[in-house]
Amino acid sequence: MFKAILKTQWKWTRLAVFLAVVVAFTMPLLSMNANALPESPRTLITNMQAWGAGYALLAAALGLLVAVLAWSSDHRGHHVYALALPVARWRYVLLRFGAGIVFLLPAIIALGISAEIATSTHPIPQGLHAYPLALTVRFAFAALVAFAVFFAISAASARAAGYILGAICVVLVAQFLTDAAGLNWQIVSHAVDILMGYPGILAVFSGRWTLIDV
Amino acid sequence: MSAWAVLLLFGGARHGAAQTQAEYRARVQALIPVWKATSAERRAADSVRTRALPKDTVRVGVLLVLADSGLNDLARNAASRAAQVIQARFGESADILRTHVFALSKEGGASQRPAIVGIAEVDSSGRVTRGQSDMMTVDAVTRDLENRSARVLGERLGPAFAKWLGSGLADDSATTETWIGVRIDLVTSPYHVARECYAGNVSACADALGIADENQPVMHWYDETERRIVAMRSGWQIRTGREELYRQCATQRVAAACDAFVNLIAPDQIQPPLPFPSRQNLVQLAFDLGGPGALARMLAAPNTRREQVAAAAGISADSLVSIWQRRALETRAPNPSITWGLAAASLLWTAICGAMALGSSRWR
Repeated sequence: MFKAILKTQWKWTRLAVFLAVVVAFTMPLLSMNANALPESPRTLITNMQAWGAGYALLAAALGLLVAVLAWSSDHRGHHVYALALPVARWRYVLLRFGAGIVFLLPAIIALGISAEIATSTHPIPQGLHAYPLALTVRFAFAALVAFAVFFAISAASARAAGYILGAICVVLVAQFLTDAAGLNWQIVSHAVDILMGYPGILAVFSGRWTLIDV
Repeated sequence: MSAWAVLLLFGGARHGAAQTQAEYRARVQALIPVWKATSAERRAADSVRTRALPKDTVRVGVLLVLADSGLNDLARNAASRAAQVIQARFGESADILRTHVFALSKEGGASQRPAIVGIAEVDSSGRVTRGQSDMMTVDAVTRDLENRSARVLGERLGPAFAKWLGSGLADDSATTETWIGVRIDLVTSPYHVARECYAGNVSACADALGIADENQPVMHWYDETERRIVAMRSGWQIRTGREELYRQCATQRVAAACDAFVNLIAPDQIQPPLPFPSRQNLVQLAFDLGGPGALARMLAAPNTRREQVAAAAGISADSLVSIWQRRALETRAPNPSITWGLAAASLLWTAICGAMALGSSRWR
């Protein structure tokens, strides 16, 4: 059953996965080539941190695309295919979830190989270290979390998605109103801190996404 | 009679012996319109300059701000916050600012750019200087007034100190991020004194920061190879007429030629091995340790950087550098590797989201 789900889901997802593989493989090589002759080691670190935002965005985009594409066919067919299958709903969702996780792997592996090649073929200034494995592991966890979040949102009913959007709107409106009232309440900032700080749901996206560091 | 008229009369009288009284009168009469026109232009220029200055005066603590009407509240709130910060940081020395005038004016047409104000300073002749635009918020104007005040106070330490520091005095303590930056500078520095500093040699730290009390500090800051780099980097301005010496240093790598060339470079053109942020960080630490009286002691200290920072901190320069070195080495950037806790949290959130998807009522 998993094999069948994997096969059908692959057809919808393969283009996104292929693009993610290309980008993931290209980024470490490009980042090292762009900094082949850095002004100073400090400049190299700064530039590498700038590239770090790209890795985080790629992880988020990969998770988003794979999660949304996992449900796109079911949404189009109003879940008739799923209802026709002789499997429990929870099992069907689990199969889709598992297949999605499998489709994250090619980009993660591509990033790992590329990061290893990039750091082993370019000289690294004294005092600095390469972190290809650390970057790949962080990317893997970030992609996994992004996939899980968007998978849950995509699997949810329109009402549930509305609740999530509504919660975001409430925070933004509250910030607007408190600003208008002259109160210096950093509501959005606190909300972001909760989400991005440990052990928040997006904590893996914060921190140092850098291939070269001290 | 104005000075202009007196000058004209004396100027005319110089050659008076060779002309008749009538000719002399005619010359003076001819020059009067010129004098009147020039005087009128000067009066107009002065008038325009006076008109350009904001009319309302806001005095809060040590800060004096001239503000355009309508900007009084903004000026008062910002100056109030800035004055608190400046006085807390610099103590009685902040009184220096009492004679300094800041100006806050509406920028452009109010309807075109209502969110922008002009912030400037007024010099002793009434001229507006150092003008720039900023956001018309209390936060932005406060920050600008703080930076300008700290710069004005820092200028009292002399141009050599300002050049070494590379910026005005900081009105706050160094953040963790800046300490991390200093550690990165130490770890990644290509210069031997910085590496020795990282390895634990405090006197090397003083050299790397440029506060060692030595004759010919460049010889201590940089070794033979590094001096060649310094000569090539900083010596291009003085190459003209010394091409042979430069060639011997740059291409033949003759150490004596490089040293001779380095000695020709003005001392203030050669920067110490550690960059500006590290030096600013040292001064911030000195002010943290020294409290509000730090600047007063610094201003009273002998005119060497070593004595100045030591006076600010209220401890010996070696002790200050030792604390700086320990703090710089202790403040580590987070490792790029993710922790077990973060990995576990990520897996937990993945499982929670997966469970939420399982429980969805979408096609139940």
